[in-house]
Amino acid sequence: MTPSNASRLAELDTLRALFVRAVRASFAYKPALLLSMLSAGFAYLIPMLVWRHIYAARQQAQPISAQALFPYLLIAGCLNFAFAMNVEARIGQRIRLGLIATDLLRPVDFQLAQLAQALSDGLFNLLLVLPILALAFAFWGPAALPHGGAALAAFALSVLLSFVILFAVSFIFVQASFVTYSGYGVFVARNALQQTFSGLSAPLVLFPPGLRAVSEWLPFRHTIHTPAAIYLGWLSGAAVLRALAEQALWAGGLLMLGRYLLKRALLRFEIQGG
Amino acid sequence: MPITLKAEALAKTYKRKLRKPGLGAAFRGLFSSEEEAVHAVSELSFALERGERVGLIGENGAGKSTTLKMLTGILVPTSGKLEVLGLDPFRQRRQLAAQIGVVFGQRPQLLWDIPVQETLSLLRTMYRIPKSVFDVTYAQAVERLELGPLLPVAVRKLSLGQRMRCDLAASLLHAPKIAFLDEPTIGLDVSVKEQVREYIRDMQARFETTLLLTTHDLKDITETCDRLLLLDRGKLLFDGSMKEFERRFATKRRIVLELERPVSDAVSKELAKEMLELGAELQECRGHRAVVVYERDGAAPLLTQRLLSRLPVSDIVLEKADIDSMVAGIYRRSAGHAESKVA
Amino acid sequence: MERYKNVYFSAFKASLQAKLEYRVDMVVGIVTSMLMQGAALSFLLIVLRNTPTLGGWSGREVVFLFGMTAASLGGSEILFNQIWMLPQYIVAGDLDRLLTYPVRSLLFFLDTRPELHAFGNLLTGVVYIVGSLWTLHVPWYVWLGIPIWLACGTLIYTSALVVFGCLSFRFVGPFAQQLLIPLNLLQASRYPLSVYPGWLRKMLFFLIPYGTFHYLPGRVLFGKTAALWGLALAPAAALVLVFAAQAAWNVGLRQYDSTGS
Repeated sequence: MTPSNASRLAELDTLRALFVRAVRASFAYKPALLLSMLSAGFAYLIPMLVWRHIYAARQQAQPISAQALFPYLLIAGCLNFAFAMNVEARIGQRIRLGLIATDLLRPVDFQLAQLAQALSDGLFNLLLVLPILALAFAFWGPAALPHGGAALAAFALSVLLSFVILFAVSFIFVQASFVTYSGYGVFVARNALQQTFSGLSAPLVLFPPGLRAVSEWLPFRHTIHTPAAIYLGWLSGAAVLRALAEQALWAGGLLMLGRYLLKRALLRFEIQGG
Repeated sequence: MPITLKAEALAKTYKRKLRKPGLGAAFRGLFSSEEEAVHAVSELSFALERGERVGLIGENGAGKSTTLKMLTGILVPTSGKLEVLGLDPFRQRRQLAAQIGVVFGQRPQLLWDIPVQETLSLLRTMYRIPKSVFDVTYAQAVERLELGPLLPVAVRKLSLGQRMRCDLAASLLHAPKIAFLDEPTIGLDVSVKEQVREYIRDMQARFETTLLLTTHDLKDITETCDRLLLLDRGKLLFDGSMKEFERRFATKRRIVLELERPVSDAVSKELAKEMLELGAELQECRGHRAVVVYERDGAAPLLTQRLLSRLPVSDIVLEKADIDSMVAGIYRRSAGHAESKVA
Repeated sequence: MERYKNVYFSAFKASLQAKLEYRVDMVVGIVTSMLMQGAALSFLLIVLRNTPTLGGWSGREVVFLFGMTAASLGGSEILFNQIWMLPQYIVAGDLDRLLTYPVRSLLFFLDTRPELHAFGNLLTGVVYIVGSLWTLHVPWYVWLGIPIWLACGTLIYTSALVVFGCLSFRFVGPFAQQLLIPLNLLQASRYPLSVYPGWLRKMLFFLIPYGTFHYLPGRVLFGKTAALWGLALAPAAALVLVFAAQAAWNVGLRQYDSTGS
């Protein structure tokens, strides 16, 4: 066995041990796990119930059918759940404790390392969400599956890019921790913006014109609406490629912006420490 | 003196979940959970009179804090009878709280993010402390514990030692009838410990407070208490005065000698044999120092005479065994007995 | 005979002053909560674009519900927010100190950590309520009822939080997820309950009676029903829930193990 293989095996072993420990930890507080899933489910349920009522009441013609809307809402909900990252908590804490200065001296790029960690969190969340998607198949049958293999591949790429975009936004927002102690408040603010403009509670086509216009200018719609639209086949051919390209541009641009802001922040603010 | 606190066959048992290692066990743990009973305190009986100063000692896990929490109404006893100032601590918690003062050394928590000064005045409102009392206790606290510079500082910003002092002051601000102090000197510098002990002694004398103090630092006990309760694994091993404690458990004494010059190996070997014959032990004989340990039985004069004749002594000190080694001796002894295991 | 101030009020005031020193946090808190309310309102705007009325309620009437919900939430956040810390306190055994004070432990615990989000929610709520009622031309005496219903809403929500929070005495762990249930149900009550299926409506009337402090009064005020009893149910519901909360707390304290040594 070559040295590099040996070290890779050792890494895998460590990862496995960490994974087991994480699972054990979450099972240790079994009521918490159950409740947080229940609560998340409920939060997504409410808008769905409202829409259900509206469609049942049929008081006016709708731009899209119920058959189109409800799978969208389900996918949107699953994506939102999967995207719950701890970025603000982790980085925010390091800023408040003054550890960020040493982090930046390490040979590993800080932002990318945090991104990697966020991605692994997301992977774990996706695993939790899969059973719900399975339920979706049970309810809606083939309509719940993506339209073809190409759509599935594009969807996967889109989800990855959405992740990066959300991470990059969080990375920018979390820098408010240089001036405020309330890391949680900043997180909630970012979350509120995301909820409003990402298309979580309704696809963009249902938005009033003013709101829609603002959404077009912000990156948030690319975190839920775009991947969901690809999944459901609302975009096809060149439109998919263009959407992916837009996502990639946002992702890259926001990451750059985050790095730039961090550098400036470190120059301006005193690093607080114990 | 009237009885202020009476405990009869007091007991506290916890149920604790058993956690087994491994992923499989974690899954199984989702559906079932085994429990074991932990007897933190069992069959505890004692009584305190007004104005008594009592120390409660024991190793970690002996049940000191659990006992204290039952006495103050934080925990409800599993069984037994308990009466403090004529009240049931758990059921009449608020009534009792107005008349007792409590310090938790391991977790000194004054209220919140507010300055010390404000906390103290808030406590004044809370305990409805009359001006005549507050003026005295507040002044005493500020002066003796040097709280002056700390008053405008937010509690959050204080060091451990500073917070402990403030916590102590806060607990005695209303001149309580009983003061329960759980490790009040833990983590403090030696000089601060002295200050704190003096303050406690003084307040206790001034207001005739009944004092129940738990500590790991036995000097706290020797300097502020007359009576000692020793807990081991939830049971009371000893309840009596400090003198009785020394009489029963202080068996060893030491003679420490300073030598003008070192002595040869041959001489010290000879001396060691001689000491053994006299029932003592030459613990150390190196360089300019020699130590002899013996059982307390009046052998001191003879031993001293021999040592002075055999060694070039420049100084001599006779020591009692310190309380730490006495307590350690007790634990060794009790561990030696066949103890009933935790059920 | 000396007179003493009310200790709960003094403690609250002191805590609030301490919090207000963090100016930036206060601003963040207010902005954040207003963004959250904005997010909810944006969904309402989306919904109203796609339907003229919602469950028989006009847009403005729904805004009234939004406002009452927001203001009650704000009221609880400013007065009783420390409930969210209960699980952590239990795990760390930090309730000990509280229990050595001669105060009502539940009330004192609740009111000593105001959450500055509250100002944003209160402000938004008041704006929504005043705006909607003004444009709906309600009679003047309605305004007298608003503070009462809001107080009931705050009490019902807080009591529900306490009851759920007390589960932490039994299932010890540093998580407060169970508190999301009363919160989510409160947020759900922003929309007219007539929109929801039967099982949810029942939950919002009988499990946690949120329906009593804004939906039922709203039905009377906006002329959807002639039955006046809808106006008076909230205080009764609040009373029941406050009792339940205190009872849950008492039971919880018996189970409180406190990490002793």
